[in-house]
Amino acid sequence: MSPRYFDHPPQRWGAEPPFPLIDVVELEDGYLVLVELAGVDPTAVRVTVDQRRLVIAGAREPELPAGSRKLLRMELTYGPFRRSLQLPLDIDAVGISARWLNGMLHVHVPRQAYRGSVEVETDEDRGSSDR
Amino acid sequence: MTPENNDDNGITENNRPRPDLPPLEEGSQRVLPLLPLRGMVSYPQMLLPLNVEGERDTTLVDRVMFGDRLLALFTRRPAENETEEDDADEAPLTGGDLHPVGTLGVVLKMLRMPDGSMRLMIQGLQRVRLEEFIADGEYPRVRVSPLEESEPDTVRVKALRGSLTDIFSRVVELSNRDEDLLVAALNIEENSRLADFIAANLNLELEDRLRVLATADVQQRLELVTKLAGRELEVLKIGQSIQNEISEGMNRAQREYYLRQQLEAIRRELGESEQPSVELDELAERMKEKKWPESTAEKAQRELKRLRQMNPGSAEYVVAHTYLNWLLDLPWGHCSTDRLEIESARRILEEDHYGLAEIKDRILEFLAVRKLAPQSRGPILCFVGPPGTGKTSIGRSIARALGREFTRASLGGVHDEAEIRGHRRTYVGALPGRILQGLKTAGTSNPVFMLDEVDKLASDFRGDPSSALLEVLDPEQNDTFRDNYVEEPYDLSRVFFITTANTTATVPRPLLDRMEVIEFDGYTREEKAQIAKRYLFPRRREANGLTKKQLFLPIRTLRAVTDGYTREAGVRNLERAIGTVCRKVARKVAAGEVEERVVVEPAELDEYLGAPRVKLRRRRRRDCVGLATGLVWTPVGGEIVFVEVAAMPGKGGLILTGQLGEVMKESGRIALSYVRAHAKALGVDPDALSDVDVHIHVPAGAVPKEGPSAGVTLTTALVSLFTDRPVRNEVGMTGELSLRGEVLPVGGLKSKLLAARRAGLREVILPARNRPEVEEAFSDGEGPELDLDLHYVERVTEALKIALEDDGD
Repeated sequence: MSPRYFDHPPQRWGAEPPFPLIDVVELEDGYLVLVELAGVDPTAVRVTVDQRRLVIAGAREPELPAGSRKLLRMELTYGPFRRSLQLPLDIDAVGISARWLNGMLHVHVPRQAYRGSVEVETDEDRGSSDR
Repeated sequence: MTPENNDDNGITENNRPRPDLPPLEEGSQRVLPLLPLRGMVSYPQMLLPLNVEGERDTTLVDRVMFGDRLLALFTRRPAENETEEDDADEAPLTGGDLHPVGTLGVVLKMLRMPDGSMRLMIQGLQRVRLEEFIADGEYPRVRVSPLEESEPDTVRVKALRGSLTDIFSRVVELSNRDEDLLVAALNIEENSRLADFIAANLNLELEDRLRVLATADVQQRLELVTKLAGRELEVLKIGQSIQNEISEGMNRAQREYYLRQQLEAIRRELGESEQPSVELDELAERMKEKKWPESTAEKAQRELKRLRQMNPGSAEYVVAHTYLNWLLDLPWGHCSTDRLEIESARRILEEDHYGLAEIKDRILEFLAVRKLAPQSRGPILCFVGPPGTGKTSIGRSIARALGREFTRASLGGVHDEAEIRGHRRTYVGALPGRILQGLKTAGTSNPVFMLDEVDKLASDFRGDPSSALLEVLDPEQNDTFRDNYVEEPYDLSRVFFITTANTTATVPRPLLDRMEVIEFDGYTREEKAQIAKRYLFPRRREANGLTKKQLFLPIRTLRAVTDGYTREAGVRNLERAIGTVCRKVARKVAAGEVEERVVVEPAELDEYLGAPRVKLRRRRRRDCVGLATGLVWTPVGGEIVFVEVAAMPGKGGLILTGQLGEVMKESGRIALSYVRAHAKALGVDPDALSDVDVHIHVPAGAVPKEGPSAGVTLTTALVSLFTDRPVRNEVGMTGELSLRGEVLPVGGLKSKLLAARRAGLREVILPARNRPEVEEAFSDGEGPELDLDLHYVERVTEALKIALEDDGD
């Protein structure tokens, strides 16, 4: 029951640990982003990708049971959150998927399949050059 | 705002871990629980750790924790009569107590402590204005509206931002704050947040913090924070330069301190852990009890002060310490009390020394004067006499008789003025002169101070010690004697100075003039025998471990020892000879060869001392022509000499032999001239004188002789030769001859007369003008008995009548 957090409180804004905490794993075929989101209503979490930017936003609100009298300790972080990750060039934005597993949000970011060299057809437009 | 980053993991995060949360739209208002802040300010986006006490506030926090955890944070104005914090906390709040601009904050973390108080971590969210204070519930609430922040995007704002971060970076550097602060500041993009962040991390007065909070305009806020940061930078700079100065001084002092500590440790290791300060305290303690003249006391205080400031290891320290010790060791005003009982003093003197009546009288006289006039100065006596006559030992005896301390210094061979007067303190190993050293030994300022061998002072380029002695021995100026080392005047006037010398001839006149000369003539045979009986023999016997019952030397034996084995004025050899006898007897006793008391008779002395070494020159057995008996004085006592005269054919020349000195040679010429000039009156045939050379010889030829006192003797021998009348063998003579035939007085008569008697003479011819001296020396009852017929003569013709046998004319 030692008040650890308050023994060494962060001295300033920005020194608080980020919330939620995130792991990023590189896979054979892409990346896996693990977001620690226990106690969060899945419907309150939005995952969006825009221009290679992955944003996980939402809020965690304390779910106190009826009949709660007093809050004696609050170490968990509550409130709205928003984490924004920059994705590499070779991902397939359309193929990104997410699912919940044991209070964690797994976001799977697949790499684009390598398609080898692609022949690009060229159009001829003689008229303009000779004009 | 698209950071191009291709790290390995390929996924990076933008730097805003937490979203803005503006709970209040512009123009809206909201009622929120009020948490008043004391002495602190919450800024938007800043974390604020907070302790909450008091029922009102804890209730409030309890309430909000179940809701959206939003609070209004307003700083309370310091109360005018703020004495006790607790009282002020519980005092009823009014809207007027609060600063008009505050912060909307959210509780991030909370911990309730066992005593009911709470610790909170609150994050500021938004500047809000106080619209209404509502005090109707369990805890006060406020209605707030957002404070619009206007942010003009001007060049000036950009410039301000640049200079603010610049100043802040230097503040961080100078104040040794965490460098992460700077990194965090550089990462803040919004100017409003930057200003708040830096303001929160500066060392500001509450008033300034509130001004920053209340400044809604971002440009103005940047300006304000820049100004405040600049001020802090200046303070830091000044602080640092002060610190530099101090640390420079400190470093030197610390270094010295450190070295001192080491030195102390080394001393302790060596077992020399004398605490200098303790030592000095002891000195100071002793100084308090010292009766110094005022100027000396001042000087000593100065020295002590100097010492305290010095490093105990330095050479200077040792010098000053030694000096101060000397000042303390000298007796200064301390004097012993004189024992002024004349009778007991006399007894002491008699006990210690046989004879020496003149000296004893002089001491008793001094005592008497001293008794009548306590302030009289001590006399300065000079004992002149041959070695071993008790000059030094009577000094001790005098001290004993007077009840004074005794100290002595031998001046023999001293050839440096500094020996008397000391060296200046600046020299290495400098010490006071012998005078003050002697006083230190004595421990009083009025000892009997014996200066031995003043006749053997030498002088060279280093100065003349006898001149230095002049100051010491002059009663007119020795009350302010200045030693070069001590530098302070020292009063020597109460010292009883006694000097000793073997002869006055080599004592400088001015020195001799200052002293009262007392002659030690040496002892007579009888005196020696008495001294031997009373002092020497008992002392030797004891020294050799014998008792009265084991050895006895009758006085006749002692006399025989004196006569046969010593030839001296004093008694040193006599004592040695007696010692030899004692030793040999001791050997016999130890070997068990004798059991009865040994009594050594004169005839047995050969056995102990060998054959007599000294054959006394005795008078001639028969009367002789051309041979007269003279009396001479030597440092070891009187002696008789024979003057031989011979005449041979020649041209009236004169030969003088026998190592005669100039004066004595002249005496010979005078004698011959007198005889020639008065040939007729003397009954001498003038012709007999014309064709002869005269030879005068005084044996023993190897012993130098000097002095005029042989004049009468020489004349007598010459007249005897030329008139062919023998000189009576039992007559000795002494006296200087003038060319007109007068007999002039001579010195050393006492010794001479004693020698005459010892040699077996019956009659002595001596100058009439010496009569008082002789009568004093041999007056009835006092002094040795003199079994001689004394003929005092004024003219040499009278002497001739006595000395020469009548030839019937």
